[in-house]
Amino acid sequence: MGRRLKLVGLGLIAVLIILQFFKPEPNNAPIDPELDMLEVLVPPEPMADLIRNACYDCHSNQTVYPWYNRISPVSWYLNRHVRKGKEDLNFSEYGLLDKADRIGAFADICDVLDAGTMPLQSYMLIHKDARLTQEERENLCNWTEEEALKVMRE
Amino acid sequence: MKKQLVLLLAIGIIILSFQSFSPEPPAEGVFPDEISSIIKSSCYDCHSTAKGSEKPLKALDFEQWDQYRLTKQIGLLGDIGKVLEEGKMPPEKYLENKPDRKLSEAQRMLLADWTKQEADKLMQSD
Repeated sequence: MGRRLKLVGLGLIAVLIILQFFKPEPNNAPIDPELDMLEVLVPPEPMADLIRNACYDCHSNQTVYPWYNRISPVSWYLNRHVRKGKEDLNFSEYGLLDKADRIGAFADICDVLDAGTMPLQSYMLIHKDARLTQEERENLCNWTEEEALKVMRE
Repeated sequence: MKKQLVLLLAIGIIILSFQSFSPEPPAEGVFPDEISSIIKSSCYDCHSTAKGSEKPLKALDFEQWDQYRLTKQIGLLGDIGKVLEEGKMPPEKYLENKPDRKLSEAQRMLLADWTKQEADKLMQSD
C-alpha cells in the first residue's frame, strides 16, 4: 500500500514537471498608440490608471502577469481568461472598432461596472488595485457615457 | 329618433373598426413591420421577456428595447449586425430543432442593413 501511494505521488510529480514544458504564449505585444484606447482618448490620469489597473490585464494586449503565471496549469487558466476577455473587448484595438461598436463598448463597460460583474471577483481577490469603490465605478460610468456621446457626435 | 340611433351606431362601429387597425403597442412599433416579423419569428424564442432564458436575455431582450438607453441601443444594433454577418445567430443548435427559423439570405441582408441604418439614425438623434 505504502509503495503504491509513493508511485502515485511520483507519477503526479512527473506529470507536473512535464506540464511545465507547455506554456501559452504571453500576452504582451507592444502598445500601438494609434489603436490603444488610453493612447487615443487620453482620459484624465486617475481615470486612465483605474482602467489600466482594473481592466487591462484581460482586456488588452499587455497583461501584467503575477509570478504564479510561470506555473502550469495556472498559466493556462489565466490565458483562458485573457483570451475570453479580449474576445469581448480589447482596449488595445479600440481604434479598429466602428462607431456603433465604440459606443456599444462604452455602454457595456458602464453596465458591467454598475451590475458589479466586472472586474471578476477572482481577479479582485489578488489585485487590490482593481477593487473599485462605488464612487470610482460611478465616475468611470459617467466618463464612458460622455465618451459614447462624443463618438456619436463625431 | 330611430334614424339618429342608427347613425350613432354606425359611427360607433366605424370608430371601433378603426381601432382594431391601430398600430401595435409602442415597444414593438419601434421596428418596421417587416423587420419586426423577422425578429419575432427568428429571435424571440430566446431574446424576449416572455420566452427567453437568463443568458440570452442578459445580452438582449427585444421586449425591453425602449428601456435601453440610447448608447446601449446603438451598441446592440452593432452587435446584432455583427452576429448576423458572422452567421452566429440564430445558433446552429437552436436551428437543429427549429429549422424553419433559419434566416434566408434575403432576410439576413435586410436585417443587417436595417441595423446599420437604424444605428446611424440613432447616432444623429442626439
